[in-house]
Amino acid sequence: MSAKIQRLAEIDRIIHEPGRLMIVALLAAVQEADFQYLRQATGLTQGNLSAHLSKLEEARYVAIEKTFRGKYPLTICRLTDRGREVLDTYRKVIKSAL
Amino acid sequence: MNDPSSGILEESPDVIAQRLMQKASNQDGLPEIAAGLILLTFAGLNGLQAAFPPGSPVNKDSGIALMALMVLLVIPYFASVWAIKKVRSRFLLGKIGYVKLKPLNRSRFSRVIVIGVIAFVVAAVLAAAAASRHAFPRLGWLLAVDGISFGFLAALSDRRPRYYIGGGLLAAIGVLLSFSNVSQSQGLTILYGFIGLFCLVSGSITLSTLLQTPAEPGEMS
Repeated sequence: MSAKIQRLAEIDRIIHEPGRLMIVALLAAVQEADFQYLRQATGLTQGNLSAHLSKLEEARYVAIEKTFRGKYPLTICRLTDRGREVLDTYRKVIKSAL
Repeated sequence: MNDPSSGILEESPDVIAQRLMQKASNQDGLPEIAAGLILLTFAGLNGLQAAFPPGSPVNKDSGIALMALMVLLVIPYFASVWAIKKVRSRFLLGKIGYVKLKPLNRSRFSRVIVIGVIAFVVAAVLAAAAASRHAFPRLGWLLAVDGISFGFLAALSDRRPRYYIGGGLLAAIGVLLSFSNVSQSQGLTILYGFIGLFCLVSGSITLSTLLQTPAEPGEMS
């Protein structure tokens, strides 16, 4: 039991932050989403979402691509393979500890 | 204002994702408008069939159309999904953003089918039991079961007040109709007509509210 709880210390702190966990969980459930969709779905402010995405991109958990659809600019975000692995590990650690 | 991330660590990532996606999917009211139109068509055909005497051409045609709608419900459903996708990408991209979903999840689809079959069987068993005991008007329970099931599903589908209000009203109307003297056909027309109208009005208000809010820049700084 204590060994399982001790595993919580190994938890990825980048993903464990609630705002980033929402973003990563959402991106894991879809193929890709743009900044506006993430903002609407998570309810985060533009500044917060931007800061969280930058951190996730820095950690290479999320890939960000700037593109256009017609005249509308899109900032498209995708979860990378690394991000998916980290989320799977996070899911397992939390599940085993709780 | 509440922090949108409060309490998030008590849920699994999959639950978080489903909840957020559900919330995002309902934010423009389009799914409600589509459901409202399908239900109003169902109620309208049912009402036509009830209003005209059996054997008359209108009664026959509306009966055939009603059966076709029930059997081929999957067609208007997928047509509405396609139409919603088109409207969103054409007109609402700046308001609600862009998302590309994963291909249909088979396990989730199977779960929905199983729940639907169970609900149908439960409704049929209850209806048969009520009819055999003559405790209530014939098949009266079906209206109550329909109202309560739809109400429960509506309340479960989102955590917004309008879904709770709608769900409660549906359940109450279903139960009231089951105890009233209306015929089965009239009861179904009233129940589905009310559900359809509620969905349509609620969806239209949501959509018009969304359209009135100014679009915000969707770019990362």
